[in-house]
Amino acid sequence: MKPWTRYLYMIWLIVSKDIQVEWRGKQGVPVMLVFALLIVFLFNFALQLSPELQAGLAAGLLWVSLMFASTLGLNRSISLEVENKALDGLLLAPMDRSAIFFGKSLSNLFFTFMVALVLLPVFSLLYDQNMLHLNLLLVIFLGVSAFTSLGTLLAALSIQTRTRDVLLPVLLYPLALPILIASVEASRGILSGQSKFELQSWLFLLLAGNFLFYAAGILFYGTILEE
Amino acid sequence: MPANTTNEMLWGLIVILVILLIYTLSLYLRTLSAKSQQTKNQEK
Amino acid sequence: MTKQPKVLGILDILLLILVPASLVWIIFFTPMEAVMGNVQKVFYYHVAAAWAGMLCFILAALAGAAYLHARRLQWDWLSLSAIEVGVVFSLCAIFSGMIWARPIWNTWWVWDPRLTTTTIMVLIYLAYFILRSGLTTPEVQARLGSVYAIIGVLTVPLTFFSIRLFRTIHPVVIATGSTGESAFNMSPRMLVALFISLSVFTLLMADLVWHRYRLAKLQSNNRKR
Repeated sequence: MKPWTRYLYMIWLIVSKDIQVEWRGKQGVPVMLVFALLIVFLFNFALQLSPELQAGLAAGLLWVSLMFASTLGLNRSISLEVENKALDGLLLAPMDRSAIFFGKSLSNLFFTFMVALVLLPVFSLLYDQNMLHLNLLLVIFLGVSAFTSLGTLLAALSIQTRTRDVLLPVLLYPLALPILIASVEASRGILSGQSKFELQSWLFLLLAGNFLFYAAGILFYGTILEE
Repeated sequence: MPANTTNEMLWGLIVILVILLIYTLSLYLRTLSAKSQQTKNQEK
Repeated sequence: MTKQPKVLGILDILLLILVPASLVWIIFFTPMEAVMGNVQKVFYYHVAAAWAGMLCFILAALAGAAYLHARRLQWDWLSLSAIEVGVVFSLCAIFSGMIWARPIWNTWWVWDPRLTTTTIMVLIYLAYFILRSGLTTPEVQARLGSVYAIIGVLTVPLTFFSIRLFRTIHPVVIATGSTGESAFNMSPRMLVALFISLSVFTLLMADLVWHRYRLAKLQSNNRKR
């Protein structure tokens, strides 16, 4: 195998391993999903939301619940490895550490995207507003991808602290703020029917965030998990 | 006619100076305690 | 403890003269702004503090990169010191900004992109201290702290632009022109005063970081024994 295809194969191995673990245990995605729904209901009463939710509020609610739920998945993804010392095995595997990063963040992206796919029709039902746009799915993909790549990186930091996974939100949310703003604004624009031209700058921000966080992952993931 | 905001100016400047002063003081105190720790270590 | 270097002592004394001198200059020798009145003079220290804070965070990221490259704890002491001083300067900028906003816009907080970004930066670096305190050995603290300091600085432009873009779409009631708080014309004498306070605060920052660095060194030596 060429080195490049080998690298991609390694990433695929890690992603498929994570999906297999999830499929057999069913401990991650269902928890994330129920958690996200609970947040939606909590916010609904805490903020006295009306059934005809404005596009802006719906987009904000969607992203807050998605990011909170995603944080659960991010923590679980790394603590699963650390708990059973599976991480040592991963680190011993003859491959570049950045492949582990890509595998982990792609599987996290996959799980959070699954949650989003269920949330969208639920939102459409609850708030009487069709949220199944292809463009919205693209924005969710980009936003979640940036969020989970940063989160995968920072989860590897926080898992090494004495408090384990408690620290992740504190590390992650201030750094993820631009992603949240851009995702919410882009989703809001799509839901209120803005043209693609007006959304350009937000999409650009999301792309820049993706680029930055994946680059940071390639550069630093090995350093973080060094023994 | 400029607004009369001399008090606000003084407060703004004072806040900055006080924060810096408190920090400098904390730095000084921490250095003192580290130094005394050092002499304690040397006596042992 | 190695004796305090001569340059640092000179810097200390110089600042003991320069800081009061710049204060006197700002209060008595700068023109009063035509609309806002005297409160505009907070501007010189406010901007200088924000500048020094930003400089600290960039310095911390560079020192972090140097640590990851050379793996010498000295770089981590510098990184840690710069972040601590940077947080202090940022807090100065935030609180003076709030005091400035009160008479001008009749509110303590205006969600201005620069002020909000500074606040987010303070939150990012508070998390940095929490991260460090949760780690056990100095080497792990240095390694993970450096990575976080670098990523932290890299996201600052993203944060700034996203908040600015957000604000152009959702303007707040206050109308002060497109540039927000500095929407007054700077006269040459104001520029001189700004230049003076920027220089003084840069020196002050270097001095504080240096002292903090020496403290970190002292503490590290104490721990070794």
